[in-house]
Amino acid sequence: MKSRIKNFINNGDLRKVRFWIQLISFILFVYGGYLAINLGSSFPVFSCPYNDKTAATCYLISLQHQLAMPTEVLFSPAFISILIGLVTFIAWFMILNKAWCGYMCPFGTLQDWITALRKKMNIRFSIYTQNQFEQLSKIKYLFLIIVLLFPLLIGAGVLSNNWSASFCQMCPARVISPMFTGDFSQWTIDFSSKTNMILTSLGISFAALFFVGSFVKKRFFCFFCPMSALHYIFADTSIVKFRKDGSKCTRCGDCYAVCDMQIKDIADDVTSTNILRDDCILCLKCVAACPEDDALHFDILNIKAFSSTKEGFEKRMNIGSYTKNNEANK
Amino acid sequence: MNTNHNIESPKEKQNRHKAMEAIKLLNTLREDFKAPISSMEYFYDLFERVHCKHESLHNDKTKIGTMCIQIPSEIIYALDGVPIRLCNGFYTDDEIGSDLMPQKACPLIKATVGHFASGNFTDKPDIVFSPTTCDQKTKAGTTIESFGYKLIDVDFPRTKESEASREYWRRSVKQFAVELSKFQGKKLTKNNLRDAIKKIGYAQSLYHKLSEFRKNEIVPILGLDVFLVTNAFFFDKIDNWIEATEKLLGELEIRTQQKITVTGKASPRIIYTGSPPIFPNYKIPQIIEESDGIIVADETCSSNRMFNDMVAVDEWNIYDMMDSISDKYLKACTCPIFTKNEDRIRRVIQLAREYKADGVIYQAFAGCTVYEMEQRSVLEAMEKEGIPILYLESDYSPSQGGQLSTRVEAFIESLKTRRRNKK
Amino acid sequence: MATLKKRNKIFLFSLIILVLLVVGLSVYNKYAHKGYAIKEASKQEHQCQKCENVSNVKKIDPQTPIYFTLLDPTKKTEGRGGMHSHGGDGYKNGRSRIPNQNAWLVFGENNLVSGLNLETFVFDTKQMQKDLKLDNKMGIATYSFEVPKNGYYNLFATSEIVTNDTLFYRVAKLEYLNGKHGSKDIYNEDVKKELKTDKVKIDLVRLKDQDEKSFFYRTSMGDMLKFKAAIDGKPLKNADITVNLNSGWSKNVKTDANGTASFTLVRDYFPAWDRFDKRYKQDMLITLKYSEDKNGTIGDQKYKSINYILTYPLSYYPNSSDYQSYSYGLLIGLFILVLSGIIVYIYRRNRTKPFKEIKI
Repeated sequence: MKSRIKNFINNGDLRKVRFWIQLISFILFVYGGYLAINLGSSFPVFSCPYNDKTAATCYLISLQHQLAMPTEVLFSPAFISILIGLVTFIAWFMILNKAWCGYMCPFGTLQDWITALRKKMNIRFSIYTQNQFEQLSKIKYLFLIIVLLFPLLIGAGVLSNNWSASFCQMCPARVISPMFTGDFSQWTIDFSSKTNMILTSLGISFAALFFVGSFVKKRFFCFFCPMSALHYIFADTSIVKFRKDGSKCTRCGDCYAVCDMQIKDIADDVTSTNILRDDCILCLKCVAACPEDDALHFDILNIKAFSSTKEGFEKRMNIGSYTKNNEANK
Repeated sequence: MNTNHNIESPKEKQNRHKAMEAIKLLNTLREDFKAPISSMEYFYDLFERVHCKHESLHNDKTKIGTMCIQIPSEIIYALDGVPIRLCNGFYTDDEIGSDLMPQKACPLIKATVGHFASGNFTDKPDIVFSPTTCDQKTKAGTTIESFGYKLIDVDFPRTKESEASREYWRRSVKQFAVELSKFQGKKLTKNNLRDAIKKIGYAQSLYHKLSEFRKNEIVPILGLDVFLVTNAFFFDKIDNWIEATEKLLGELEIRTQQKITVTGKASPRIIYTGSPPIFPNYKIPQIIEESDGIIVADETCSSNRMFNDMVAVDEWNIYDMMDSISDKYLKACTCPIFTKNEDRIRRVIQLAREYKADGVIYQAFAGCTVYEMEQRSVLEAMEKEGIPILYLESDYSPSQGGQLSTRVEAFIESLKTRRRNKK
Repeated sequence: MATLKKRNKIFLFSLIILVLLVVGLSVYNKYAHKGYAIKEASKQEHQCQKCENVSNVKKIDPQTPIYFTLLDPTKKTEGRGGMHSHGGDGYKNGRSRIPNQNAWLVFGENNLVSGLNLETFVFDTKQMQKDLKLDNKMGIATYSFEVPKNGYYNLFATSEIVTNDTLFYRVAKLEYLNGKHGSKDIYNEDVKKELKTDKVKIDLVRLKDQDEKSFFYRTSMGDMLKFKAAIDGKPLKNADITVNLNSGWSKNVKTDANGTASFTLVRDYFPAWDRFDKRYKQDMLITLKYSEDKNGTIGDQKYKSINYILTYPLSYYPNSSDYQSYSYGLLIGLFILVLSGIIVYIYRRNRTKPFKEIKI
C-alpha cells in the first residue's frame, strides 16, 4: 500500500499539481481580503499590502517599518516586536522552505503565467550566459541590504522619513499587485520630495522591466528578489529539504536544462547532498525531469516525499504516446 | 568436358565471406548456449536476412548513414528518414579496409572504410553524416567521400563542461537539421519532432526494462543476446524492433517467474566496457560467456550508451526540443573522446554496484588511442573501489582466440575464487 | 560544501555589519543629538507659531472658547507631526499594557485652562462612555483616556457659567481617530456611525465621507467637510459656524434647515518645492456659536438666555493629488517598457544573427 502511494506521487504530473496550487494560492493571497482572511504581517511571499484586499502581508514591509524605530527605542524592550515578527516569519517559512517561492508566491505565479503566454506564442526563451548569471545573482543581496540597512539609518536620523519602506517604494510588486483589485493608484510618481520622486520612478521602471523580463526569461524577477535571499539565510531551519544522491547522477544535464533559474549545480555537483541553492525556487521541475531513480528527492521531515524515478520520467514525457498507427517512422 | 567455372566476382566473394562470419555466430548463439530464448529468433532471423540473404529492409525511405551515435536520430526520424549506423564488425571488410588505412588503425574504422570501398550495401546510404568524434573517424570522412559518397561533417566538441561547447554543439545540431531537411526536402515541425522524441524514448524505455531483468540474481538472458538486440537497432525498422523487443520482454517475464537461467550456478557477473562489439565481432563477449561468465551490463556505444539517457523537454516547441536533444547527446555522453572521463568512471562504478557485478572487463581495440589512454585512470578507479578489472586488447582477426581466452578464463576463475572466499 | 560556507560567511558578515552599524549609530546619536530629526524641510518654525511658553495662566472669561489639543502645550514643539503612532506614548511608559492618549484643554494661543468647573466625558470606539482621567501635576491638568482599539474616540468637556443673566454653555469636543498598525480591527460601517449623546446639550458632528475607509485617513486640503449641528438632539438651524486656520484664513457658514453646513478646505501650504513635506500637519478650529432666549435655573442662579459655544479642532494635511502624478508615472512606465523591449529584441536578434541560416 505504501509503495502504491509512493508510486502515485512519484509518477504524478507535476505540472498539473503545480498549476492548481499556484492558482489557488494566487486567488487566496490577492483576493483573500474580500473574505476577511488575514494571515498576519510576517508572510514569506510577495503578497503586497498595497493591495487592500490582500490576505497576508509581505514580511519585508513589516521588517522595514519595525527596523525604522528610533535607535534608542530599538534597544529598549520594544525590540521584542521585531523578534516576534522574525519568529513568526521563520515559523511560516519552515513549513515549505523555498517552495513558498515556487508554489505560493502570487508574484511568482504571475511570472509563470506570462511565461505560459510566451509558450503559446511559440517564442523561445532567453537565458543568461554563465558570466552574466554569476554577476547578476549578487543583486538580490544588494536589495536585501537595502531592506535591512536603510530603516536603521532612518531610525538614526541619517536618512529622512521619506526613505521609509524604501525597498517597497522601488518594488515592482507594489505597482503591479494592486492592479488585480482595480487599484491603479500605485502607478503615480510621488513628487513631494526628491527622494520619493526617484524611488517611485525606480519602482515604475522596475515594474515595466518586470513585464519585459518575465516575457523573455522564466521567473525573471525571482533572480533579484530579496525575499529569496532572506529565505536562503534561514533555509536550514526548515523541515523541508532538497537532496541529491550524487552516485546515482549521470550528469546528463536534464535538470539543468529545465531549471527556470539556470542553476548548473544540480547537474554538475555530485558530491553535495544538500542541493538547495540560493537561487532555487523549489519548483521541483528538476526532480520531475530526472530520469534516474532516486537521484534527486524532496524530503519532508527526512521522509522522501517526491523522488525522481525512471517510470515517472517516462510518464511525464509521455514516452509511449507517439502515434502508433503510423507505419513507418512518422 | 563441361566445366562450368563460375569465378566469383569480388562482390560475391565478399558477400559469401561475410555470410559465413554471420551465420557462424548466429548458429553458435542458437545452439551452443543453455536455454535459448524463442523470441530471439526474430533477431537471429533478421541478421540472417540482412547479412546472409542480403535482403534490403528500407526500400521505401531515404537512408541516412551515421558514423557515430552522436548524430541525433530523433531529427532523422522527424524528417522522415531512416538512420543507419554504419559501424562495421566484419573481418572481411576489415581486410579490404586495411589496404586503404594505416596499419595501426582501429579495426572498426578499417572495416567501415572497407565496406564503403567495396560499395556492397544491401541498404546503401543516400547521405552520410560523420561527427568529428575520434581522430580516425574524423579523417576517414574524406576517404569515404573519395569513393563517391555524399558525406557531411558534423562538428562535435571535445570538451563537454564548458558553456562554449554546449552552445557550439547546439548550433552544430541546428546546422545538421538544416542540411538534412534541405536534403530531404522536408521541414521540421513541432509535431513530427515531438513524435520522434517520444518514439525513440519508448524504445529506450524498453531497453531499460530489458536491463532490469539482468539485475536479478538469476539472469534470464545472455549478454550476447542483448548485444544482438541493441545491434539490431542500428538498422532495423524501428516499429518492428519495438514489437520484437516487447515480445522478448514478455518472454523474459515468464522466464523470470519460472526461474530459467542461462548461466551456471556461480557464474561471475561481468560488466563489459570499452570498444564496441559490433556484429559479428562478438569475440570477447563470446569467450566470456563460454567461460562461464555472464555479462550483466555494459558500457559501450553499441549498446548501453545508445539507450541510457532519455531526452527531457521543458517546452514542447522546436527551439526547446532541439536544445534538449543537443544536450542529451553531449552532456550525457560517456564516450572517451572527451578530455575528462570522470563521468565514464562514475558510470562504470554505478553499473557495477547496481548490477552487483563481480568484475569488469575492459576491452580496447588495438589502435584505438582514446580507449587505450583511458585504461590507466579506469584501472586506478576500479582498484580504489575494490572492483577487479581485466584489460584486454584485441582486433578483428580470428587468430587471436587462444591467447585471449586464456586470459579471460583465468580472470573468471579468479572471480569465482574471490566469491567463494567471500562466502 | 562550498555553498554552505559561502552562505554562512554572508550571514555572519552581514550580521557583524548590522551590529556595528546599530552600535555606531546609537553612539552618533548620543553625541549629535537631534532628537528624531529630519534632514529635509525643517518645519519647526511653522509648528511653533502657536506654541508659547505657558508659564502664566491667564484668566479666562466665559466668552472665550476652550478647546482640546493633543499636543502638550507645556513643551516646545519637538518631533514631527503626522507620524502614525506606534502605540501612542507607550514607549515612554515602558511596558504599559493598554495604550493611553493624552489631551489638554487650552484657550486662545495654547494657554492652559485652569480653575474652571468642568464635566468631562469620553466615548470609546463602540460609543460607550469611559473614564477620562485627570492628572493634575504642578497645576497642569492632563487628561488621558485609553485607546485600546482603532476607531473614533470622542471627548467632551462642558462648562456652564452664569454671568449677567446669561448662561454660557461651553463645550470642547474632540474626535480622535486612533490608528495603530498591526491591529486586527477592521474599518466598517459601525466604526463610522455618528455618536449621539444626551450628555451635552449642543453637539456638532462631522459627517464622514464615503472615501473614508481606513483608520489612517487624513483630512486633506481641498476636501469638502460636512458638519451637522444638533441641540437637545434636534437639528440646529441657523447657527454660526466659524472655521479658523492657522494661516489666518477664516470662514463663516450658517447651518441650514437640517442643521448641516459644509465648506471646502482651502489649500494654504505653498512652500518651495524642496521644502515641501507631504506630512505637514496643520490645525484648524471650528467653532459653533448659538444663542437662544430661554429661562432657567442652574443651582441658585437664574438666567434668561443661553449662549452656546462648541469648539471642534481638526488636523489636516496636504492633498495627495497635489504631489502625485499619474501622467508622469505612466509615461515613465511606458518609456521604459518600450525601450527595454526594443533592447531585448535587438540583443536576441543579434545573438543569433551570425547563424541566421540555421534558424529552424
